[in-house]
Amino acid sequence: MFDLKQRSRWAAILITLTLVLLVCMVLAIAIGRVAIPTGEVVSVVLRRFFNLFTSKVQGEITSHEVIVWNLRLPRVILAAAVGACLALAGCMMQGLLRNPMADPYVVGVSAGASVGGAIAFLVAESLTASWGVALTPILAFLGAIGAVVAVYLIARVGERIPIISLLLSGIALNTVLSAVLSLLIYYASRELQSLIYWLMGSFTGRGWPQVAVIIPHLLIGLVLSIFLARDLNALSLGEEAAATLGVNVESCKRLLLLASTLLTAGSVAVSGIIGFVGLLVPHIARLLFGPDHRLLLPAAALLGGIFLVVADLLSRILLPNAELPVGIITSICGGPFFLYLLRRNSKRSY
Amino acid sequence: MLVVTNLTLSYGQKPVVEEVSFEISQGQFVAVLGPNGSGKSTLLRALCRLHKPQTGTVSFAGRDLRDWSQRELAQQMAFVRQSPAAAFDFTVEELAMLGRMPYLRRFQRETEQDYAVVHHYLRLTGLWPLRHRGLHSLSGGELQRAFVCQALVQEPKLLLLDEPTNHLDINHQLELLELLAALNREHRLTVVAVLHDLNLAALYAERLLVLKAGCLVADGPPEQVLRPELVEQTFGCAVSVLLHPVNSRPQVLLMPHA
Repeated sequence: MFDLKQRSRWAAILITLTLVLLVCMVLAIAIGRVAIPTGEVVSVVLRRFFNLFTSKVQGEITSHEVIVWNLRLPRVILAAAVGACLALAGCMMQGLLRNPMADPYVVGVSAGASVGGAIAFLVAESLTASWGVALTPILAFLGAIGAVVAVYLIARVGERIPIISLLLSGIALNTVLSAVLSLLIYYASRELQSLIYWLMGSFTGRGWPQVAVIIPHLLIGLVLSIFLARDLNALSLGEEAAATLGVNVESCKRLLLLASTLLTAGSVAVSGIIGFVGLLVPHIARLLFGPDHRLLLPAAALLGGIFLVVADLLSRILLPNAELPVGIITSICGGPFFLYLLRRNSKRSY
Repeated sequence: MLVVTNLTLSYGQKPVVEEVSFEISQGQFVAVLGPNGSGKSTLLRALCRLHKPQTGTVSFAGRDLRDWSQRELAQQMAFVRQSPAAAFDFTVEELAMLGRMPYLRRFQRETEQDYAVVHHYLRLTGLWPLRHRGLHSLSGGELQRAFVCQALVQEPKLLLLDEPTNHLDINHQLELLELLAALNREHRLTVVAVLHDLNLAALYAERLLVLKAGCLVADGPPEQVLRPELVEQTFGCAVSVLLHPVNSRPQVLLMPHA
């Protein structure tokens, strides 16, 4: 009885979120400087998708078709995938560190990934070159894993990771890494503008190559998150409590670190630093759906996708003749929310 | 059931428990007593493998603890730690259900039987009316009971508790120990609890282990262990011992200096 009720509730939530995400994606493709009817969006996407398998080009390719298939569709898929990645990474980090303020951006993992990514950027001269596309995620991953390990070692006090020490070590790490980034920018005179624009976090000019990079990251992260969901529930009671409930804590922690790092690094590699998604989205998901990670993780992933698709749409249409980096929009939404959480938590005398 | 042989535990180089040996047989209710920093909690943690022995061994049901898998061990013993807390706002029922984890396969959903077990222990611990409340809205005492409930839901053979009466008022202290005593009597649940209150320990435990500076200084039934000289030597304060009017268990009275 109970199980059935719970199962159908979870299914209803996830199906609803999936539908909302799809609707948002179609709208985001339709809206823009060139408005395209939603019916045409759907028909172009479906026709081109099935043509992928028959490899026949049927009829003439219209300009709308180029806009939908070559420009807006990959960008919208990328935004949804990066949103899902960042939300999943935030969710896992919060569960792992037993701390609702953890987020790849706050903790400095995004900065670690961006230093690695910037090095790849300079080495490969240009992100759009096939070299850059391949090298960036690898170096971003190395940078991110270094940052995660550093924060974990610095911030831990005994068995716990208190909010204060987590945030302080995050600040320290972010400061050091941004100095390193400044140094890299200093040497990047030729690629200066594109590097800075990449770092600000944006989906402008991204296409299918970046989608091909992010999708494996997302799939691995998603599979690991579902695999570890119940262990995360136990871990939120503390590592020792989880152990006495039968969880293999050390291997579980390693997998969680690997997954959240992979998700963050992939996101940073394709779209630069997009802040606060990993903080904002899991929080809202937890408020809406409760703390059980078996529902929370997939729900947060879908919600993260929705959030970034909408944020990216806003970044394209808010200014009449220019695009804002989407990272600015998420930070404008996320920053005040972060301060609100901090204030509320400090009142409860954490 | 539990055999501790020449156990030495340490943090880094500093030993906290030295060369301790004892056996606990199934169905015993044991209280571990001792002053602050005497190594009680560390000893308790070693009994459920949370603290690795420097030297010596702990074996459970004839097998060295190191040979058990995490999951097997969780089906046999449960541990309620000092001032437990949860990072996220699970409901009382969700927390209790986590106690079924050792019995569920990775992707298996909770069965009706699991819910029956959870509901049974929610009623037994008096948490039934609070089962849909979030943990963050509970009082310290209610939270403590919720974690005891989770441990019972694990249906262990051995229950280890580290100062379980810490946040409870006297009524709830009594109720918790009565519950443990009843489970001990009726289901032969073996209970090992670190307690600060000597009188509660004397009322409910059949056997007291007293630690002082990491050494076992007394081991026996309350009437043998709670003698004024021993309490004074161990805790460093003068006491007088009376017998309880109803059950003749020893009860310790503090003696003011003036």
